[in-house]
Amino acid sequence: MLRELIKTKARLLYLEGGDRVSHHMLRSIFSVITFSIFAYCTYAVVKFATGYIIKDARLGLFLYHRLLALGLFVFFAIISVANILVAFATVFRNKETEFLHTLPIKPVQIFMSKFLDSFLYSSALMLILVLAAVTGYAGYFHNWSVAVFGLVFAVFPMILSAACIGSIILLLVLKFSNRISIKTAVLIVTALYAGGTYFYILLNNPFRLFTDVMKYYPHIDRYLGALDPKPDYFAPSFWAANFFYFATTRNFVGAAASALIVCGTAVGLFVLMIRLADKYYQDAFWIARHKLFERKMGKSVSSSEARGDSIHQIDSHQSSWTQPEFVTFGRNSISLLRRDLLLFLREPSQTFHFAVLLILIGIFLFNLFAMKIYLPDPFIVTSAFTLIFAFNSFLIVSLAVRFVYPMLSLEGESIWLLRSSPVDLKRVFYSKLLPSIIFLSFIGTTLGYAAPAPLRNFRGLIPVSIVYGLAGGITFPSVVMIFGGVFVDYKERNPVRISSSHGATVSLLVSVGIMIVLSSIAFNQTFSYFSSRGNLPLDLSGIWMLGSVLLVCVMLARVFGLRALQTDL
Amino acid sequence: MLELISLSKKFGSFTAVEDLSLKVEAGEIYGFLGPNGAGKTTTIKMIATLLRPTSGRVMINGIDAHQSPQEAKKCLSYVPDQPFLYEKLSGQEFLSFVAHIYGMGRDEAIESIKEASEIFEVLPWLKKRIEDYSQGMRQRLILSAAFMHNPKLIVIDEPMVGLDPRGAETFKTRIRLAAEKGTAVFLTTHQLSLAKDICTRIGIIRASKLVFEGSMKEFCGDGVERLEKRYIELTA
Repeated sequence: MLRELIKTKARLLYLEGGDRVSHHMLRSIFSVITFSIFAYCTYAVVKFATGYIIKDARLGLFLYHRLLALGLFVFFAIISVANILVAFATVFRNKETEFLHTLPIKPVQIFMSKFLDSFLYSSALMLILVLAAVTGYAGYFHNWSVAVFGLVFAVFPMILSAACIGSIILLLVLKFSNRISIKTAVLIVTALYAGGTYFYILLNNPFRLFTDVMKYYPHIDRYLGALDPKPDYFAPSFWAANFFYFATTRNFVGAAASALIVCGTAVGLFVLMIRLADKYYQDAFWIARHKLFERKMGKSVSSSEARGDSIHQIDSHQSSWTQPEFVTFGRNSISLLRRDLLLFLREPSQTFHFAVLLILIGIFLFNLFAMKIYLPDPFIVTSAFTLIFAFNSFLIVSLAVRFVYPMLSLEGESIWLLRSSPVDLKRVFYSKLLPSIIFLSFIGTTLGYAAPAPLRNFRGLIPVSIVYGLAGGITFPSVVMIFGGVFVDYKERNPVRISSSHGATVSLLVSVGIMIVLSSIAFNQTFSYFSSRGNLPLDLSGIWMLGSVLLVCVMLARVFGLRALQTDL
Repeated sequence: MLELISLSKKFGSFTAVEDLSLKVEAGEIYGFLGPNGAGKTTTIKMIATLLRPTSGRVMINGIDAHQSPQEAKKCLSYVPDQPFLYEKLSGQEFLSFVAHIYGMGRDEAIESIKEASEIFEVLPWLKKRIEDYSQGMRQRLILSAAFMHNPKLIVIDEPMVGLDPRGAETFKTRIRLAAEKGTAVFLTTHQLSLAKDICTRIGIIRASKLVFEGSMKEFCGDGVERLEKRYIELTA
């Protein structure tokens, strides 16, 4: 039965992929070009960074691989969290899953097929990134067998382990959400992840490790495992980094042992996940559906009963929106905005992710104001500012891809309602783009205001930084909206799946590309300012480029967004 | 064949189904009627093991559907009101997938697909992808899938969605035939005429409780008009 399921899924993957290419040739070519450029950039950046750390900064092989371990750990945690979100949408809240549960298939087999589904669905970008990064690493060391063996025996099992941990946590959260509320369970898991990542980074403080390793100079290429904090041994990412260290230093026994640990952990976690799925998946599925239905019917009825709303009262609440005094921007616009807002607020996955991202931004802002950077070298100060700027932009990009990208697709099958109504589709489009731009511009300007905060002596940078933030807040939702229009999918209703789809990945890559261009402009414009220790006025000669990028993006968003709304149904 | 024993389902403080008990014997066509939001779909989803009851049991062919769901589902065919279909597969590929899931061998599957698709007149469409099917054609396909493995119990939520008069007539004939061969049928519908035409017994649910159970004759005697009047009275 599992064979039949996987055979059908593979055929579907082939047919859908084939259709995508044959029906949307231009779109596919563009995707391939974007992916290729991004993969090449990743390759080049990893190769350059490896060379810089080992040759120019002379940190040595051991420290380099410890930095690699840190990076892999963050990657590991991200995959794990991402898998929890995508698996919930795919393994529990999905029409196909519901259909499969009506057939005489073992629940664990449904779980396995859907686990693979969610794993492959959310991994396209990840696999390309990893492939390019490992190739960049191997390119620097001129050791291609490391790339092949590293991918197969270190990176892939590590990714699988992360995905398994995500699914195990999800299963347990749902299973035990009968005893503790789902909100408490989610809070516990969030706290565990945040705490775990925080302590891992605290334990592996690169500055402390740098000091410790440099005590052994010039023998800094040696394996200095005694300096590793013991809790690191529990992280598969640590052993994956160790594999690369040993393989590069030609210690094949060490490499084999590390690979064995990573692979063994992956197999162990996979078996554990399957065992748990065999035991708990059916229950967890019922609980998830119960919660879903509870929200759909029970809550609304009981809450309105509890409030004692009569039909007349509800009518009066609703009609207040259509009173003339509220309709200052036109009846259609208000209704469209209100509908989108209500749909957003009533979808827990939307509000939860939104809250998490806002909390992260809050933490980042707090850290920016608490941080003090006194760096004498203008190159490093400019780099630090550019990095902060790039991270600010990345936060806006993340918000845009997660929440703005799905907006057009989320019209879903109810698009017929708009298409058959006397409503101007431009208004529909602007009711989605403008609020996104306003909100993200606000976030962008706030981040822009905070960006120069760690650089105490350069407060004169604030106005320009705010302009950059504002530009990001307008550009990125527009870019993402372009791709939301190009890859519009009215059949997928789940916002999580839409925002982790192929089109969303392309929009993320293009946004990151633009982010790099904007960061380079920021770097060029602030370098002479930092060199003069803030005495020279800022060079704003490249600001026209920023404006042009922004304008082009907004216009293209309008073109593609409207085209998506006017597409044949 | 199907027995619901004191079945209840609560969502928070809201009771969707309350203490529902009924039996559908082999060869019986049971119409489960009721107004919107009365608890029909929740009941059907509990029978199809998509929801777990808060209390009570669902027995299919003597098997507790929530204790041994896989065993119970071997005897069951479920047709939801909004069925899921793999858009990119052809009708034949979809039917073949279902046949194999129900453990049919290759030859048996081919034979069953041919038979079921001939009955529901989807044979000429089988090679086409499901994404090209009309709503009625989809319903015919899903009904073919439901009848293909000769289930002991068929549970159908709103069977007539999208069917043209010819398709509707085929469905009625096929349902009667299946019942004659001993299959139990449990269906929900808002079309009282359909219930009158094919159901041997009906149950009416209102506000989560079963308010009537018996034969059509017991409910309204003869005549659709009286049936409608009685139904509206009972569910008001």
